Amino acid sequence: MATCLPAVAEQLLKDLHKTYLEKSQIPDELLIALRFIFGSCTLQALDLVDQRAVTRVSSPSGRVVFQVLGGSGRVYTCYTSCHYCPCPAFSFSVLRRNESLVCKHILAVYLCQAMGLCQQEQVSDQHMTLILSGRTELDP
Amino acid sequence: MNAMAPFLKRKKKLRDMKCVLFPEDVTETFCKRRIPETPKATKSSWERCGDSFLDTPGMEKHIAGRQTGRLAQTSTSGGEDPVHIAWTSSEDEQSDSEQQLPLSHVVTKSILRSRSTPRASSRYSRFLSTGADTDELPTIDSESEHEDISTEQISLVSAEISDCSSDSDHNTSKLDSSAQEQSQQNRSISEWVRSAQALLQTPQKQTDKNPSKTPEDSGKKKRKFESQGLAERLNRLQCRQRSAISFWRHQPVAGFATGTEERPGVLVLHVHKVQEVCGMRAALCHRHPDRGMSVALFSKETANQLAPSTGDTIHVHPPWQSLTVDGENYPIILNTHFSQKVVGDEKQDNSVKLLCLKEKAKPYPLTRCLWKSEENSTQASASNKQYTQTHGDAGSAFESLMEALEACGTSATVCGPVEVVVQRIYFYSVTQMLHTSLPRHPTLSKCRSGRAQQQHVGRCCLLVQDVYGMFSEVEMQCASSEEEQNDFTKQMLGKTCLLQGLKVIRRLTRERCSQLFSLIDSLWPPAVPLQVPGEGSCCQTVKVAAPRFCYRLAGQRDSVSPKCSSPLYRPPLIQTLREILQDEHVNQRCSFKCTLIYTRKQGKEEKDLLLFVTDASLQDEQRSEGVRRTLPVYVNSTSLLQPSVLQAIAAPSPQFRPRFIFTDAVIEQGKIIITGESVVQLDLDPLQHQDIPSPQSVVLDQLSAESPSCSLCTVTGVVMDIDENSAYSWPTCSQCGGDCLEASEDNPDVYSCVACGLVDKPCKKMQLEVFLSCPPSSHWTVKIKLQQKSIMSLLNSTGHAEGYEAEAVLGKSVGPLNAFIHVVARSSALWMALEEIIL
Repeated sequence: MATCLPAVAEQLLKDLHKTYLEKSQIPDELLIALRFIFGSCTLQALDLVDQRAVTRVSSPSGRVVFQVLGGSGRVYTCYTSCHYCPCPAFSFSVLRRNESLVCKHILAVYLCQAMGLCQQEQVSDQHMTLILSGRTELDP
Repeated sequence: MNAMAPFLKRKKKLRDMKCVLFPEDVTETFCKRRIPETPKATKSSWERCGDSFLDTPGMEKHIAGRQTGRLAQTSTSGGEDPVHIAWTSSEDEQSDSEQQLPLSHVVTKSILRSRSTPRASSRYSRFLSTGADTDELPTIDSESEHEDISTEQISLVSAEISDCSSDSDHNTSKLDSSAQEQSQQNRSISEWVRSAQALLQTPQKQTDKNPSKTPEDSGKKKRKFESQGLAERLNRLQCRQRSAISFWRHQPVAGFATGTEERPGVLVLHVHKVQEVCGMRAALCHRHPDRGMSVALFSKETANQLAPSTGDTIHVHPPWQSLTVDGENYPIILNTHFSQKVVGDEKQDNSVKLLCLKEKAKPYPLTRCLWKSEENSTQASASNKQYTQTHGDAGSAFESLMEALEACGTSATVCGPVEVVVQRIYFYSVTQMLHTSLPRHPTLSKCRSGRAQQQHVGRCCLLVQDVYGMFSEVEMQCASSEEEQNDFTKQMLGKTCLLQGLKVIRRLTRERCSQLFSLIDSLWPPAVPLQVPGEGSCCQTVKVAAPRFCYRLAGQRDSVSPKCSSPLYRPPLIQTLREILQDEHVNQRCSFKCTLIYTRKQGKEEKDLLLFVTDASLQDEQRSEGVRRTLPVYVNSTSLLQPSVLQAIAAPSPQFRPRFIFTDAVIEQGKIIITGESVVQLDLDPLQHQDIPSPQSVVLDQLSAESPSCSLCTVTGVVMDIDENSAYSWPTCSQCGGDCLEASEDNPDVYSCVACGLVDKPCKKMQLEVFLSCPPSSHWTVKIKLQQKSIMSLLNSTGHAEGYEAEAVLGKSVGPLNAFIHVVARSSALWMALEEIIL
């Protein structure tokens, strides 16, 4: 029973991927279901998607991270294989209180990946090292 | 969001600032703006504020300020008394209020609490009751203007106060007081009064609304979304859903308990177990009647209202959604906004207790990801599909060797089908131990070499390349006959081929397998631009380095099926020997046509061959420094020469000088080496024979002080000395040449040959080594082992054919003789050991 929420979330993202790939749009039912599962941050995450605020940054070594330009102008770095966002909302609502599955940034990353709406950016391996070590996080 | 920083700074000074200004405090505040005000003073201000608000809704002379959760007013004294109301608000987005950590929130709350007086709370007690139900904190947009205060917003402000005064711990900022908002100081008192009236009048309306407050109230933010965007659409949907829920909750409850079960579409769930999952409630339910188990998810808002607990019966009205997810035991019911608990009287008390005991599920692990890229899985399935394709059908074959290899997974047993170009085909022999399962293991083969029987196995290798530039060496059993080998080469070389059913033997790196990579380097850069992986039709425009690794695969003859010629094929570049020798050796491989003039066997068991070759470019009259007229070619025993080639090598004669084509020979420090990857073919093109030097006219270099060892030369000189130890003669059979003869007992001149049994007068063989003085310089010592013919002519010149007298031989001139230079010693004095040869 504990796994049902992530399972539904995964399934919805898969459906989103499939539907968006085929029709380039999202039916209302799916939007409502996403809202139901991911809660109030869905709206803000979709706004980030609309604004194309998610950038897929890759380097020649094959490393990939996602950078989300938050509403505050801050850039949050999320990872390809890790459910984590460095924003305070994630550490508070997701990690500490465990009352939400996602923050809007990581949700925006998931949505953009599923819909293929990430901006693409190539950086050098050195730059990727800086990003991963958190040193360029403040640079937009 | 950028406005956050100044707010924060102000917030830190909150305690220092005089936040609330009332008519009586005006002067004081104005003078001592930075003097902290005691909580007591604030408290009294609040009390008075309450009174004055009750009594005088429209204030004329005095400036009143009041601070609620989001409202701060600044006043100045004066005749006109303009009121400065600064509407400030914190960020309306929970996630964006990152700077506001719980700690700061606690501070904010404590300030608020200190101001809450009994009267104030009684005034807002009606909000408190509703505030307890408020889960998502309603907020006001920071851009909202003073004039825009709607009744709704004010109610939200109130709700927020109540929420803060309760002990709920939310990560949203609640309070911001700004006493010095310069930009908004031009409000007139009448404007403020209007707002104050609005503030006072609204609560009545709100109380009616609050019980039906729906979860999406936070969606009432005045946010601008991208037009036609997803967020805008969801916002619209949310609003619609919210009103639907509000409407639904207002319906009389009477009908639910009785007639629901008959209504179509209404789920009747008996709750077995409730668990909290990331803020939601997951209820394991039995679907009535007899529809099995389901998991119903309730949002926090619905759950707070329903308080689902074990034993409850919940009716879920449409539209709900049921989702079956792989890996989950039960279908999951979503969108349970229209849920109603059917409560029996006796359960009322229990439900509260059970709610407290509800389980909380573990948080979602950080090491996983909700979105799983399907690239890998689709690729794998694609490869499986492709592998089932029938033989020879390249319609869906891989274009990339790496993809084909990756597709075979960790087992790495079988890969393909993959389309490649056969760049080279070569044959070599490997030594295998019989009855050894691991013939390639070096230590093992060493151990067993004494006992196990060695076997030389011919291998045929294909060097293949894909359109992305990646190479692989495909090893297979050697074709048996020379003809088959030639046919195979003709069929495959330079063609696009389909590889199937290959085994991956090992990964070869540049460091471990330098010879193969020198061949690969000679094929680089590719003849046509390469494709870029993942870019489809894109071609590489920039110069790319040759690959640093490749794979050795193994297969059978039928693993390779040829198709058409490929533009990627780079045929070997045939150069003249002069070009090769004068080349800067950019490539370590060279290909050339040449004429064989002399062969020597070398090494242990004489397995290695030393071939002396030349071509027209070297035999030219033009001489250049450092270029010799003949060139030694070392043939490694690992290269598998065709029988016809071996035959031609074995018997060169002045009448027949075979011509060869050497392909991909290694050139290393001026030496040309034929290794396993090189190909030696007889050059049978009759046209080419015209430009070979005629057998008689092969010109060798004159012996000089610079002549290297292991080279050919002509030598002319005067006999200075004779090596007495090496001078001897012996009889041999005139028929077979064998030197095992038995002397007849009665006639010492008659011998019988042990080998052929012939009794005849034997031939006499002679060996003689002499020291020569060569004309240009007499400072070096040249010792030459003469051939029988030269010895005979030397002896004949003295008049004693059967023997010699040293004095008679000395001073005689010999030559020009063709000789092979065995040794050149330059340590103290120049010393050379030569052997006369017959070309």
